[in-house]
Amino acid sequence: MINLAQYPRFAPPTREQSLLCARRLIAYVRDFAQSINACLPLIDADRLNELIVRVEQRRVYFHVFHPEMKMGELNEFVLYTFWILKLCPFRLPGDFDPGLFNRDLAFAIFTRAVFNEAIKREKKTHLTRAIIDKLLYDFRYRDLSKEAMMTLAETLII
Amino acid sequence: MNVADVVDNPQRFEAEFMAGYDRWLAQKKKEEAAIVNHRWSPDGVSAWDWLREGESKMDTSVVDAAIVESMRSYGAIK
Repeated sequence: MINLAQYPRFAPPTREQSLLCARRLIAYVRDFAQSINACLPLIDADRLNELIVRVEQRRVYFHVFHPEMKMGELNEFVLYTFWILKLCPFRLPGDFDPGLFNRDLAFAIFTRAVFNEAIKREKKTHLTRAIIDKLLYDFRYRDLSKEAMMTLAETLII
Repeated sequence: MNVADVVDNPQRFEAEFMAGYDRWLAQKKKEEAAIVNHRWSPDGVSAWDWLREGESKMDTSVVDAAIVESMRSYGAIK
């Protein structure tokens, strides 16, 4: 059988790598929040680091187990979406439901990744208001797996 | 493959297993090759550059309207 000792062990990103990633994610969230005049959120650093490492783990998983199937940016942002929904690293000061707020931020990232991928492929998206409302509900209240969300993102590109 | 062969005829068992393994691996590689390959951001950071690249070309108005409505409902937007 496979000798596990021959496989490298996953090492989490270094402090500097995590900081780089965190800056990009937070800057994007900040810019989005400002663009719609939303309150700028606070960040739970522990949850943010957990999110970054979990996305990285999945990137490595794809590299090790599916080298012919590149993960791609769309799937990478699906992972960010998934872990923001799960970990809720952002919160508003005061008594706000963090689930709803993180859902809205994650949805913004998810849909922008879908739009961007559609543009790259010279296709359109199927993000009607009815589908958007459905997805907002599903992202908050349903159990969507990472793979289901990846497939979902693909099907929105037509 | 015949379960009995694993003891009664190990050479036949091995030959059939190996042929099956090769068939399975070839089919798996074919299935994976059929999946569209996308650009991959190897450093985990440039994906954000990818996302920002297309921003000026996107029409996110319908999505943003829904998000704004949601955020207003719980006070994230006054």
